[in-house]
Amino acid sequence: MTRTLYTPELCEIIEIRDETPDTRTFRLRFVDEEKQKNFTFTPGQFGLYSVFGEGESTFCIASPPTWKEYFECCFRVVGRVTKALRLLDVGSVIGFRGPYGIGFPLESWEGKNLLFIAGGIGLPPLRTVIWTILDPGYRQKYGEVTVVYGARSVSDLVYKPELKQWEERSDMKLIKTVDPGGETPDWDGKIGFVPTVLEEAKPSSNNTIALICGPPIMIKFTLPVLSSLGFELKNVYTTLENRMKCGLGKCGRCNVGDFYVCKEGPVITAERLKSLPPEY
Amino acid sequence: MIIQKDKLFALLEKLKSGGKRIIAPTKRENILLFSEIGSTDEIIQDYINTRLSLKGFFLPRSEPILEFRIHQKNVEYTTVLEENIKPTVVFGVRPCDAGSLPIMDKVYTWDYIDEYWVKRRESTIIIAVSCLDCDEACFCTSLGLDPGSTKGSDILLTPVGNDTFLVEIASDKGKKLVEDNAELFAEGDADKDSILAPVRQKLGKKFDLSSIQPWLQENFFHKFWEQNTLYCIGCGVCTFVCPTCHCFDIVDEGTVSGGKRMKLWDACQFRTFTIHASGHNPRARQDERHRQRIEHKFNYYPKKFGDTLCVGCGRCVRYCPVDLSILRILTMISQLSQTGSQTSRAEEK
Ligand SMILES: Cc1cc2nc3c(=O)[nH]c(=O)nc-3n(C[C@H](O)[C@H](O)[C@H](O)COP(=O)(O)OP(=O)(O)OC[C@H]3O[C@@H](n4cnc5c(N)ncnc54)[C@H](O)[C@@H]3O)c2cc1C
Ligand code: SF4
Ligand code: SF4
Ligand code: FES
Repeated sequence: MTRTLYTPELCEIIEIRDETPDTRTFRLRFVDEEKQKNFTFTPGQFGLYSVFGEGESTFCIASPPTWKEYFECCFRVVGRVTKALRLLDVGSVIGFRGPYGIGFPLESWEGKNLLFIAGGIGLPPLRTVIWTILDPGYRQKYGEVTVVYGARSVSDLVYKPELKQWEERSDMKLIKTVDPGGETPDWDGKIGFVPTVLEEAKPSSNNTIALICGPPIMIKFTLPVLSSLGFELKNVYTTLENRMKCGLGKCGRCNVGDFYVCKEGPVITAERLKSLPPEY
Repeated sequence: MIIQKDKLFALLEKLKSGGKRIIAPTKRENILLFSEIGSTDEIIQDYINTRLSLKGFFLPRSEPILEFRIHQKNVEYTTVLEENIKPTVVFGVRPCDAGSLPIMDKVYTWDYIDEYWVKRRESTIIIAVSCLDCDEACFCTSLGLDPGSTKGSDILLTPVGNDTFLVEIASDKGKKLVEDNAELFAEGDADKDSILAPVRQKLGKKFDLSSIQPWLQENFFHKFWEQNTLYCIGCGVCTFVCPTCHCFDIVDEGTVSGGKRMKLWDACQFRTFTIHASGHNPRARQDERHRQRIEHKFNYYPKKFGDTLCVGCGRCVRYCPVDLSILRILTMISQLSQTGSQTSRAEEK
């Protein structure tokens, strides 16, 4: 069959999990077994997921490349495509193009501590990194692993069963929090906004890389906290979410200044981000 | 080498009967446009330039890229890509428009190859005709192009009087076309420079291109943008008529049982172009969107691809409904860069 750079692959939905009232995870497998076998990517890369007849949507690949049998995405229902995605059942097929973009430079972080800071639906792009480095083949290459994760309320936390697993592990530390008022009677985490909780936790910036992903307001207030903890901007990574169409550097939609998010991002250091116009 | 007009039209007729599609400037509902001709009688020869550029022959306004059928949980799809594009000759292309093609090739072959663009480019021969006249919107010479430039052409013809054209071969494709039809061409020469001298003089140099990019790099936050571009009504006309604007959308059309995925022209001047699902818009104001158009053409694209993303065809100047002239914007920037006025990021934010 003729293929072009815009031709998707078919993927079957093999499992559906509701993360929050408006956020859902799909576990996907390429219909073509060879494709699934050969599918590799770097954590942080994204794909274009499509419902035929509704269109394409950009989501990160939320699972680690160490999971070989399937991959996952996690999406919030906000518009045309995501509403259509929500209507699909296990066994339905969707389109997928990717992986696109440049992911996190995991290899260059070997020997370092990693600090993950996520808010709300900002966890999926970091979850792929977290599970990658927790893999027995990778874990010893990195130092301490700390995850600070917060959401507006307990019901807005994604990957709840995994948060439990992370809490129980001895090779990492999870600090979870919800915004004041978002707690439930049995909530056993912290209550406070992510930047405040981070400030109290005082993670060391020594030999540490920080990865931060979440709503713009959280990023805005967290960056100064990281600076006061001694993090240099070049050691702070985030991902951009500019609207995309092609994902391939053709359609001209995603640029922030001369930075084409789909080609040179979505992963970017806070240092590079600071040099760009504030169009994100 | 020269060719007489009757021989030239005989050449086009011959190419047409040989199976090629011939595209030339024509009047369609009284609008000058490039379109396929049935006969050389339809060709308009006295014109400055067409309303639309020839971009649409390589990047159509809308085209299907995928067709699909949906049956319950099953989806079948096929990629839509014309395999055997009809060999095409575009005649009467102005040097500015011809010059836009190699500039656009860069983005469509950057890393990933866009076959839709590339295949059509490969199957098309460009016969350009030098300009002997211009209007006040034209500014190719200010961008390092010329009314007699061969950039992007396969053959360039320059009218030298007495229904005669000077022939310049500008590519291998052009060379082959001339060799295959050698009997129609004749020995001869003409002084192109003296023929083009009047139009070159009329075009002049309207601003200093070398000053534009440095100013843009420094003055993203300048009040200039608000003062001079906020009144843009965001209609997108400038981008649609432009030979180098190439932004597109990908949209599905169809019903529950099937449909098509379409590639459509889009415009950075639209509010919805960059809006996030959250409602946040990185370019929320019209002056920010207009700044993007100028920055993209004169700063980002040159930085990435080494070419200015404008050929000075003047279309956006002619057809903007609120007279927001890019030529005036560039002239003002060129003047501002001499006076050195700028506003820093800190002052603005
Ligand atoms: C690199 C990257 C990674 C991403 N990763 C994820 C992820 O992992 N999970 C996730 O949930 N999201 C992610 N996103 C965001 C995601 O791409 C969007 O939320 C999604 O594409 C929305 O698609 P939709 O078709 O449902 O919404 P759309 O229907 O396209 O639009 C959603 C909303 O946008 C506004 N809008 C859009 N078009 C118009 C218009 N023409 N006029 C007016 N308003 C309009 C409306 O408010 C509309 O409700 C990512 C984005 C990027 C760029
Ligand atoms: S920006 Fe205006 S003058 Fe420049 S190529 Fe496009 S339409 Fe022509
Ligand atoms: S500059 Fe003029 S033509 Fe372009 S979008 Fe604005 S109003 Fe329309
Ligand atoms: S998404 Fe099309 S250029 Fe980046």
